Amino acid sequence: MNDWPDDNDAMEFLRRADPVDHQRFALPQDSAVAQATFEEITGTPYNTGADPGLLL
Amino acid sequence: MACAAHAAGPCPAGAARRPLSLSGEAERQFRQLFDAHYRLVVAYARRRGRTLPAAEDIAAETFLVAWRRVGEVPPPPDTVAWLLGVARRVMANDRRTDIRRDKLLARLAQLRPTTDPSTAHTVAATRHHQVVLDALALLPAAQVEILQLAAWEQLTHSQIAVVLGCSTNAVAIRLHRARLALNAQLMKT
Repeated sequence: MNDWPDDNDAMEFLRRADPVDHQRFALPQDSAVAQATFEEITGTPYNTGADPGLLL
Repeated sequence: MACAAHAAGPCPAGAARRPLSLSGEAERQFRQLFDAHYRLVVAYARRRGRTLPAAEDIAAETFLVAWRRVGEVPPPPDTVAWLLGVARRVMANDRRTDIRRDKLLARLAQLRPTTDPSTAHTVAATRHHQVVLDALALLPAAQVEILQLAAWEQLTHSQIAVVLGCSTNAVAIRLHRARLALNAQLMKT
């Protein structure tokens, strides 16, 4: 492996080699684990913060 | 969830699980923080070799600290860095994930990039990615950490300084050395 012209290229390959794409993880509003976490921390249901208009 | 306040200092025994009441404004601030950054904190732990359940536990403990210290959370662009700094301390203190460094790095080397074959990624690019991960796993832990923060979390020097608790100048120097070390390692492979 000797085709790395400079360290910037190595960093770019490192960036692209990110093993985890956080965009693939569920958002809190779609994750039961995240919502349970929120509720345990705050003592309030996760959905109480939803826009009241959306609940109608 | 175990006592997470150890990341922020000692807490009264038994108080860790008792929800702390906040003002409406502080609660709204925490909810925004949680919604905006929960995935990033989970990803941060996953990138450092934690399983998904362990990463979710680390996120939970991180946000418990954020809940208790919501008034200290800095505004953007330092918000993420502050959270990752807490997550870093949670991971360092978490006995359940007290895995030896070489074991973590071995797992790091086994991770594969999230390559989508339907995109323009080529086989050669994927091979390069793995070569980089293999080279990364051979570097000292401190260099691995700063390279990951720069490349994967894509933090600026000043944000990395918040995470690591050092000066921006120190980050610039350490990152420069780490990049040279990564490049040197790549040249050997």
